[in-house]
Amino acid sequence: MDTTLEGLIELLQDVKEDVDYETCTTLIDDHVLDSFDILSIISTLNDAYDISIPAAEIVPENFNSAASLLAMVERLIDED
Amino acid sequence: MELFSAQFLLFLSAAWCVYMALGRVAPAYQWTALLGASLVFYGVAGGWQSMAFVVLAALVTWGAALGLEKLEARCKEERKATADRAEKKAVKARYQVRKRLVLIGALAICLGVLGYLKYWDTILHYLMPSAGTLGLVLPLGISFFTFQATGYVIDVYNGKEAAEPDFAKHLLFVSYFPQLIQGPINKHRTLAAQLTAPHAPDAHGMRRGALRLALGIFKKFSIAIMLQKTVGEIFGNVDAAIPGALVVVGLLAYNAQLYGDFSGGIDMVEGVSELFGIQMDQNFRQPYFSTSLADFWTRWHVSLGAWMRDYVFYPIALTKPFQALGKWAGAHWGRHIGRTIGACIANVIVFLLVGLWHGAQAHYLVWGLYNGVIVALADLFKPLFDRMAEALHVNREGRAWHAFAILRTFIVVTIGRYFDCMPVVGDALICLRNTFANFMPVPWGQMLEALGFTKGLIPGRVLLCIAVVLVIDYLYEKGMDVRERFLALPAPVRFIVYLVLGFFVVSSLNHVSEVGGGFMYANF
Repeated sequence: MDTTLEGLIELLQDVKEDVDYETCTTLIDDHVLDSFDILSIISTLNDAYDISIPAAEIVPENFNSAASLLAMVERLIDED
Repeated sequence: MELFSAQFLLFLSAAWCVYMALGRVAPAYQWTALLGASLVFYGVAGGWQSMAFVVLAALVTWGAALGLEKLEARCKEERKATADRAEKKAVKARYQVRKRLVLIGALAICLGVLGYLKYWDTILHYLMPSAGTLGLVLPLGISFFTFQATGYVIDVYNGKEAAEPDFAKHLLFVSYFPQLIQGPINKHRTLAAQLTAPHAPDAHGMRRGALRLALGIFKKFSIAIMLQKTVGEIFGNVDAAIPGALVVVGLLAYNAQLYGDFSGGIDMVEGVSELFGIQMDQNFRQPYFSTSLADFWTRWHVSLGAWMRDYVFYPIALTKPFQALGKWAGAHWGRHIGRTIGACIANVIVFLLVGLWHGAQAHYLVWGLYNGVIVALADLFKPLFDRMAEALHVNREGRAWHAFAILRTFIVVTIGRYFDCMPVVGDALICLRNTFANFMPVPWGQMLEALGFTKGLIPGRVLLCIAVVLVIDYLYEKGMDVRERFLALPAPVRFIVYLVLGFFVVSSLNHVSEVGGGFMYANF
């Protein structure tokens, strides 16, 4: 299980290319990701990290950047 | 108590004076004035007997939220006490079941009461058409405060909100009077803290609030009320020969009436709230400038859409069967179908529920299904539409395409209105058929005369008022803070504008006695 930022960005790029995950911190606020992307990202992260991201975690603070997504993943792994 | 009445003006003035006076002498208790005003408003406007339903919804969600928080705290304590990872997991699972039971219990009571009062008569009518109704009366705003209160308890369950320990403060969140008639369905995180924070009179904020209130009155009276009778007459008695042209004009009028009524009413209550220094959640964002049906539903009744997205759409789309379906579809039908199919089905379910939220009658379900299916198909076939646009060399970044997309969306929304506007699905289907098969059997003037519309259908002054509202929406769409720009105009200019708009409102007042001054969404 690769819980590095680089590993997570690689997964995100599989879901949606042409997004600057390294610097963008407004993925939700600027509508870079739509609801389909969010659902695909959740499905991918659930499989990759063996977690279950609930709907309650779908808030801009968690999905606005790769770093915030990683923080959420680490927290869910820890809580599990 | 109508919003545009001397009684409401008196109530509002008294509530504001007490609120601001209390803010000076006892700022920590200023919110109690709002609570008192809200209960008085509900008692007078909704009936004192109905108040039991507001109090019940507040009581159940307050108790459930506190219970959920206690369970969460105990769960954390027990998890902390053990070092064993498996045991930690077991503790979490155990408490998760208890928390879920509390949540289900609270939702069952709140939504059960709503469902019984709202749907039971209709269900009985379907099951036993010969039996009389129970005559259940829907308490004022019950759909709105029930959704608001249940949204709060779900947020506490999900750990997104802290439980409110003070019942009186929670009762204020549920019963805050501007939101009671037709929403918006406010989020706890955006409204609750504002309600209990001290507010001093703010001249600029009050001017902005008063202007919004005035705009709401203008929309409601100069457009909605002026069109109400015409729409009622056109669709009141649909017969098989109804000319399609009349249907189309009637639906255009219905579109304007509904927008004037709902967004006007929302402007009025948002304006009233701003007089107290409190911003409620947004409910409209220039819906008639949407470029797709999905876009329309993020701009019309925004607070209901947000509720459905957070508490229905995502939870359904993230269930294991939906996730599995997406993976299976991706493997068999391609990446695009795989990533959209689950969300598309969830969307259809959401729109069916939105239809049901409006009422249990078949026409609302057809309306919901229509919207859900159109949104789903647009998403599923997006790659095909992209390829078609590319093949035809359509510039989808240009102004012409943008205007076309707005017009296309308007037509799609209006087709849905056939089932929203007419209470009988059969009537809607007749009108839909005649729109294409019997558009104008005789010349327009002759047709109106034969149908008894001797004075024409829609007065030119109403068209002018609709144009004014569209221009205001256009300026907002372009990013202008219209209220701020208007308030910066010289006083004589503002005075003239108020005078002209006031003329339209005052001259529509004689229609109020014919059609009443209530709001369409207050019935939901």
